[in-house]
Amino acid sequence: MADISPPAGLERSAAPEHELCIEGIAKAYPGVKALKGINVRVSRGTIHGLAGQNGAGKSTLIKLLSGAEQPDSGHILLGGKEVTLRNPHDAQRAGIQTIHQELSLVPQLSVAENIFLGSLPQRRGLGTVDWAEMRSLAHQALARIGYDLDVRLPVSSYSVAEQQAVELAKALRKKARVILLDEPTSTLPPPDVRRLFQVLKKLSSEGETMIYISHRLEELFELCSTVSIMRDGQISAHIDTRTAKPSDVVSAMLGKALRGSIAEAAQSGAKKPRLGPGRKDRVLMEIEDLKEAGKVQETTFKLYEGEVLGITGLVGSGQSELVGLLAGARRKTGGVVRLEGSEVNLSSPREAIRLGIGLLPQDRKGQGFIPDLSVAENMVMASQRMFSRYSIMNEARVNRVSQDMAQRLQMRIFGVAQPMKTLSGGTQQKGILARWLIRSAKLLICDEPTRGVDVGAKEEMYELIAEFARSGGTVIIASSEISEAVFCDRVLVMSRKAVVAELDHDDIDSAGEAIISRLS
Amino acid sequence: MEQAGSIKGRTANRALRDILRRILPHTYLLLVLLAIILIGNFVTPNFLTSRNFGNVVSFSSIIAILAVGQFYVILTGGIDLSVGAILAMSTVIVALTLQTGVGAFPAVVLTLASCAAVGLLNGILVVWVRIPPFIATLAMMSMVQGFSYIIQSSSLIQIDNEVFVNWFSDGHVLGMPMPVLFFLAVTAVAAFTSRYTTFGRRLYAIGGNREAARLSGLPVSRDLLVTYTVSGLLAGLAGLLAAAQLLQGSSLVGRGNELDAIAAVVVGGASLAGGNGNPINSVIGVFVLATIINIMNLVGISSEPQLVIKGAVILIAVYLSSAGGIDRLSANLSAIFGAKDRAGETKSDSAERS
Repeated sequence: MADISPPAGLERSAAPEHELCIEGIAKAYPGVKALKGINVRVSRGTIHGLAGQNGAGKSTLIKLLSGAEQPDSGHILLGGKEVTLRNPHDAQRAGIQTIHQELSLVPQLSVAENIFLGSLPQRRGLGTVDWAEMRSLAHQALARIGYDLDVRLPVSSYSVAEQQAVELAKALRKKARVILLDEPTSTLPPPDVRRLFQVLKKLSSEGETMIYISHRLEELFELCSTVSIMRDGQISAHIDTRTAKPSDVVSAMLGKALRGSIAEAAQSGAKKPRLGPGRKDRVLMEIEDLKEAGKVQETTFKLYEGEVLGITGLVGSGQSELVGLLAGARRKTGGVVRLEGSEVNLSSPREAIRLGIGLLPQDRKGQGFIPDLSVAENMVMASQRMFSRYSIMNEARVNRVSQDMAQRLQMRIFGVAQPMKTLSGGTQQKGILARWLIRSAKLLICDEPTRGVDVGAKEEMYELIAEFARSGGTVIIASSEISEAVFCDRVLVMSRKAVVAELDHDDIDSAGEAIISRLS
Repeated sequence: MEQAGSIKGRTANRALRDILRRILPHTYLLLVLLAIILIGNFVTPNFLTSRNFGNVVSFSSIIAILAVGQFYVILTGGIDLSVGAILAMSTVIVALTLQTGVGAFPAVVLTLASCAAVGLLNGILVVWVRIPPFIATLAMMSMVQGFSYIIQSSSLIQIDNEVFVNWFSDGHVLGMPMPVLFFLAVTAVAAFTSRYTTFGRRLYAIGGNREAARLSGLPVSRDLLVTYTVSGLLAGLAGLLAAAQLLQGSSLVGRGNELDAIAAVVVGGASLAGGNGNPINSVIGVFVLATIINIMNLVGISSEPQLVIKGAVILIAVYLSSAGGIDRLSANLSAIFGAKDRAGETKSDSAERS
């Protein structure tokens, strides 16, 4: 099944039916070789799958193809001709249209303006915007993919799925040789996913060429004829979906080293390990009618000491906001939280931390660490008082403790004086975890703890969470990955900002069907 | 595959490059200042005299104290445009209180307290009212200017309190003039605070990533209030030095000094986005600008071309420091020492990582 591409030189004779050829593309960042010579050929009129775990190099490849960054070496051929993509504008002019996970629309502008952004139709002579022409063209572009929207309304008045359609119409309106779709379903509820797939299949039958990036196997098998699997900056296999099994994809994604690991189980859904030792009888936290207007509906549940509680749901179902309330990062608009029997006011992170609650935020870069400060300083950030006397920091102690911690968590760093921004995602995540271990938090709240970390680091993260629970700590994991939620001792399922189900570990099948059935 | 000798040579090269890369960004400002002093010595014999040196230092003391306060505000990602106006207010308040015949000490305390209060007000506007620092302190600048003018009520107020003048201008301790002593003390305390205290490190965290600092439980609001208050207080101190030098209080002094202080801080390598830099470099920034102006004065360049040159100097200095020009230059420099083993280096880097 693993048909490894021949070296770049041999591919010069790329057949004309290949709309896009990527030859020997390599890209290094300081300290990391993100791509180590990638070869991919995409046939005209097909949907080509691109899969791989977080950190495998998918997003780097997307950046190179969309012109956001430039490769160190290698070639990109479009329709047999080599192109140089110095910036996104170049890429779009050459015909590579990218639909990013985070849509790049201007919310305040109308649907029509968004579709024609950058090249508004103009009236001859005056050069003013030809609104009538633009609206009718925008309407046509949307009709082609089966959508009928009022193109005069601002884009923000439409749902995510409809906004995605606008983005697609925008891509198609330009000269689109190849459309790159980066995890388009990650924010869509199931019915909208079906509709998107119909649109994509129709476009493919009309001769459009697409690259579909996802880590969801069933989607890749449904849409794509060929799937290129990335691992560790390389293509580990090109898989023909007519003959291959899903397990082939999983092992190509994970590599041999991780067989039988928690991460593999997470990906394939084959087994169902458990992170926590199971709940004890002592209640740590009681949440009663907790809510935040517009973000989280009244929620009531108990958190038991020593358990690993999962809170799952599709992206945007309110799980992040709910744990944000518990960490004091957001303000509740109603309800009561009792910690070990007494009512607490989680009015700020500072207060929550004082009570022994630590948060691993979802947006690591934006909320997790101070990029320019050292690993050591980031680790002791929440425990300044422990490391100072008369407000003067004891640097020797900071260094000693952070070095011990780096060793214990097996962080790959040159030294604790290294700036945090130079570390890989997984190592940064460990650094933030270390902050709470040093602070001796008793409740660890992890919001999407394995987002944007590579497979190996993911595995280590699970181990560390398990170890924290074994040593008596309590953990809440908010995750939109159902495959991750199934490891928890207990799972709360959220849909449309409310908890809709509570499942015990033993009630959840390994594929998480019990959860999925309650999502929409 | 690799020869032992070439590995050794490579490590030596690499060590040299590391040293260059590490030292250059930190000492280049001093080198620049030294170069300017050498040039000054070359173009005019009047430059390296103790009298001229004293002039430059006592003139710079005032701006240096403002720059230290400004540095702290900029470190948190803010800006304080009101310090020039606070400086003027400080001269007016101290002159007025001394005029009533009270002693120098209560006059100084009252003045510093009022200036700190204005700083605190800036902080409250920024933290609680959530007005962007640029706007809040711009509005405060206007209000403080107007306030000083109103309480001054006459054109200027003479100061003849000898104790006061002695403290802030004419006096010497250990052979050093008081203004120099004040600015050295302020700089030393600021440098220590930023490097070794919990408060100082928190400011780097707040400027580096405010949300991460908040989620780590740092008292962000309180620290910002303190920072703006300190900036006001230091502007008040600078005002006392100015009043004692000029022997008068006037709402017209200090106009534009806030921009001199900001320029010095960015010349000193701090980024306006916050989170980096250090107060000593800001003070060196003050001296770089002051020395250049002094040399231009000595060689008889009139004040209009001086402004043009000063602007150019700020641009060059900021290109070299904040804009990363010095990093690019030192990267180019270090490339000369061993572009060939760059591949080898990345290889060994990734080996150490995994």
